[in-house]
Amino acid sequence: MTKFFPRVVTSVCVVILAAWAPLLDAALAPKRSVLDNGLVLLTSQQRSLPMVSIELLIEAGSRYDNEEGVANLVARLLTYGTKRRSAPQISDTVDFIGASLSASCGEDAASVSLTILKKDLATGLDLLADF
Amino acid sequence: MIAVEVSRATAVQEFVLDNGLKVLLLEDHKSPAVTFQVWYRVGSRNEKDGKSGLSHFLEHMMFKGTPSIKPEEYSRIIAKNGGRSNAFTTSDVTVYFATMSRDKIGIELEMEADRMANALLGDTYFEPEKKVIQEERRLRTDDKPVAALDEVTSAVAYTVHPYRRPVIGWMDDIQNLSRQDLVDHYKLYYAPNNAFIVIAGDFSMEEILPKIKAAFEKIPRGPEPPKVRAEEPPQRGERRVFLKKEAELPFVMMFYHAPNLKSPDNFALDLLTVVLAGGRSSPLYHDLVYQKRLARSVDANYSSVSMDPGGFSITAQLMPGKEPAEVEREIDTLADKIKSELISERDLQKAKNQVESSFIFAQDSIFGQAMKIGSYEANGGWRQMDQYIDGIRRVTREDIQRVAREYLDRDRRTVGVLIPTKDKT
Repeated sequence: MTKFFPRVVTSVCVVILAAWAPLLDAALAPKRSVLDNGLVLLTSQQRSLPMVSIELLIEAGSRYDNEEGVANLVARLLTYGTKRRSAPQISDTVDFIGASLSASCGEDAASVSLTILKKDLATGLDLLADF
Repeated sequence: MIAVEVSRATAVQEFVLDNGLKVLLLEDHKSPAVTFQVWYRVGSRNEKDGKSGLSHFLEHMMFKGTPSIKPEEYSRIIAKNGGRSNAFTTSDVTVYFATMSRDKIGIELEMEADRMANALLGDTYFEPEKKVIQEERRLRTDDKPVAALDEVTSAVAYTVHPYRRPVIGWMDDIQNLSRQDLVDHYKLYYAPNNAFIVIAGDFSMEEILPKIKAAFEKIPRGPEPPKVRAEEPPQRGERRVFLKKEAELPFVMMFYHAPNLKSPDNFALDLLTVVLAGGRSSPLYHDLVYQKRLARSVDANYSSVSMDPGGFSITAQLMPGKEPAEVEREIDTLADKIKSELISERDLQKAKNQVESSFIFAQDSIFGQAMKIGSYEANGGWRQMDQYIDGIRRVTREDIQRVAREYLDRDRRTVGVLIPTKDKT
């Protein structure tokens, strides 16, 4: 997914691979939309399993570093507390619904990955919005 | 060829060819790719003292050609056709596989049938491949402190059962293996009646079954391979093993003997790993990593899917300068708490949610699905997969406490401790 990134986003982009519509062939057939605040949303629907994978890409990779390692440190610390939730609260929310959450940093983008059961999507989006 | 039955829950279909080769098929049309796997019921568990590493060595030599496929040509043909292939050996099984587009999977199917019957295990390639395997051992065990600790801990935890030997083999054993050993192993274990095929992905049953039949049914049935009867006697008293090796951080590994799928306790033991160490909110992580900063990482592992009883292990990689004894005390305190007090209903529910969601996430790839079907089939039958989620849902807080008391018994554990040194070893 990251390879699409430099061309399509303003500052942030969300890619959602989800279970909604039947897929006739194997093409990913992504759909693109832009929210009022500029957030680009790319979605691709697959129905076979009740799960959703979300990739939040933020244009904040190491190429924007003023000081070496800052971009990576910031990305890694995203899941260790926000204004609304402490690190243990984030972990407990993620663990209780059996989701998998990780944050990392590449040269172009910082990214947060979340894999979640479809029934818990609202909880997942609420968590991601915090970052 | 007889159609046996279809499992509604997993939609796997089972067929058995006249020569005893079982075929398990799962159609999944999400993407136009197919995974084809051949599982041989042989691994280091079937090896004898002095011959460790034989199954893994044979796995390497299976890429050295047949009368119709030149040495190393197999991998080139798969890659040239856009596929990905590999093989692996465990203590219980040896597995060969490729994932390819649906129109190309027949190439893999025919080459697997060919090497099941006609592998040359060429003499010219034997000595050079031995060096490759010895180098693999240096890279993956001798040069990896935690892997080396795992190897020596298993060698102490088991006294009789072949699980005490490493899959890759001891260095001297690899050196002493002969080509004839490989030929004998191949003849004895690589028969259709000692193997099964798993196919998952975008294929049509009507098209693929005749192809499988044409390629594999002509391979004659072999004699029944000998059964492994070794049984590990009950451990009486804790064992300890220290490994001093060039490394940066100490590591603690606690290995408790635990049953496999044959025991109904397997579900509660699976949940116990999550109760102890599932995610950052788990007591082990919260206490040792987040609060006390004694460890860099912690984990609890248990696999019910093994031929013979395996282990329940708790591991911790320590922060620099921390004492293994202190980390052991903390782990024991947390384990004692689960033995003496019932966990909360919420913590049980949290553990179940984690197990169920991973079960669903694991089905996201056709390779993952084929692996799951294959590992259950190798260990008592793929149909047990269907009972898994129900088994997990039935576990109570009392069950968690009971299995913790029964299996996390210090008299039946082996503790391995890695002590970092600065010496080159």
